[in-house]
Amino acid sequence: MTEYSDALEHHYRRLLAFYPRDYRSRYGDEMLDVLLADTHDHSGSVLANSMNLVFGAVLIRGRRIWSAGDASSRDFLAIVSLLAPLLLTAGVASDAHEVAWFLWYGGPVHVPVDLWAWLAWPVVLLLGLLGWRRLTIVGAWLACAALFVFTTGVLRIYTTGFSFGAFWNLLALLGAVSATGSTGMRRGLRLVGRLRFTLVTAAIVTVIFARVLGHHYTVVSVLAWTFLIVVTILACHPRTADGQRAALLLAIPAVSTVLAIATLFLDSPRWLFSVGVISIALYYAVPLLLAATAYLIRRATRHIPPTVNRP
Amino acid sequence: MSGKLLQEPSFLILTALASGPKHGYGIVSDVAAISDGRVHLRAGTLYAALDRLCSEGWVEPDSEEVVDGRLRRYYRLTSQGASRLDTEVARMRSHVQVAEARLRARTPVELAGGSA
Repeated sequence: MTEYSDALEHHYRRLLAFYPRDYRSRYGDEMLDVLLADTHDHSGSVLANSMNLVFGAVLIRGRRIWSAGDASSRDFLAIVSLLAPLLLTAGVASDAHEVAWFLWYGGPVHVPVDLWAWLAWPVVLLLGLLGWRRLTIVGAWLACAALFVFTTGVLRIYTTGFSFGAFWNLLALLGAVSATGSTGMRRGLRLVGRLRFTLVTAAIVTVIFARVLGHHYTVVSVLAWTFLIVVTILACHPRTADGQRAALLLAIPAVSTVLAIATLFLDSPRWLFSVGVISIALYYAVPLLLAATAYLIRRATRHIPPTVNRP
Repeated sequence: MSGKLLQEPSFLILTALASGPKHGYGIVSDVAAISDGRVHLRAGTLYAALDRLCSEGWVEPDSEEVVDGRLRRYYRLTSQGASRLDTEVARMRSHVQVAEARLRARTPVELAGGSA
C-alpha cells in the first residue's frame, strides 16, 4: 500500500469516527472499501466524499436523536412549552436596564414600548402552570405576535431587530407552537422537576440583574448567560430522548444568533444584511428550515424501528 | 407496504440489486451505469440508504468476504423489496403513459417550442 493510500485511509477513518459506534462497527469497513475504491478509480473526489461523510454522520445522529424512544410521545413539547416562556422572560433585561437607568439618574421614567410584549411571557407561564390551557395558548400566540410587531414591525425597524431580535421571535414562535401542540406546562414541570425549574428561574433573574446593574460589566452578562444556557440544557434532562429533542428544539432559535455574530465579522457583505428581505431570509428562514427538516426526519423515521438492536 | 414515494437513490439501489447480489462499490458502479453516469452515489449516502432499506425489509445482507483485511458484505433484494420496486415501476409507467399521450396530442409547432 502506498503512502498516499495510507494517508487517505487514515483521513477517511477519522471522518468515519463521527458516526455512531454501532453504525461504524456495522458499516465502517464497507464504507471505507467504497471510499478507497471510489477515490482510486478517480470517479470521486476526496473533498466531495469527505463532505458527504460528515453530512451523513450529522444526518444519522440527528435522525437517531429525533426518532429515539416513543415516537408518539409529545413530552418534549411539554418541556419546550415550559422552558420557552421562561427563557423569554429574560428578554425583559434590556428594557429593565433602560428603566433602571432613568431611575438611577433621577430623570422622568421612559417606559420602552416593547416592555409589555416581554412581560406577557411570565403571564403566559403563570396561566400554563395554573392549568388554563386555552388561555395559555391564546396568550402565547398574542405575546408572540406582539413581540414580533414591537421588535421588527412598524414601531421599531432596526437592523438588529432582524438579527439578534430573530432569536427572541423564533423562541416566541416555539413557545406558542409548543403551547398549542403539547399536553401542557404542568406535564412539562413534572418532567423538568421543581429543582431544575427553580434553577432556570434563578439563572434568568441573574441575567436580568446582571444587565440592570452591570452596564459596563460585559463579562458578568456573558457569565450569567452561560449559566442560563447550562441550567437550561440540564433542565431538559439531556440523557432522555425527549430531553434531547427538547434541547435541540430550543437550540434552533440560537442558530440565528450564531449567524448574526458571524456576519459581524464579515466586512464586505455588511451592507447586504441591512436589506430587510435578505436579513429575514438569513436569520429566520435558515432556523425555520432546520426545524422543518427535523419535523420531516421525525415523520419519515416514525415507522422505522431503531437499528441498534438489529442483528 | 409503505405507500411513500421512493427517492431516486433508493429506486436506483433496488434496481441495481434486482439483477443479483452486489457489494457496496458494485452498487455504486451499477447505479452510475443505470443512470448514464448522472447519479454518483457516495459512501455516506449509499449506506444511509442501505440502512433504511434494510430496516424496511426490502434489502438484506447476502454473503460476506474479507478483501484487503476489510469486511465486504453483499446485499440482495428481498421478495418484499422486489414487490416494492414493481409497485414503483408501475406507478412511474402510468405517469409516463399519460405524459406520452399528452405530448402526442400536441401539434408539431407546440412541440418545437412555439406558443400553444
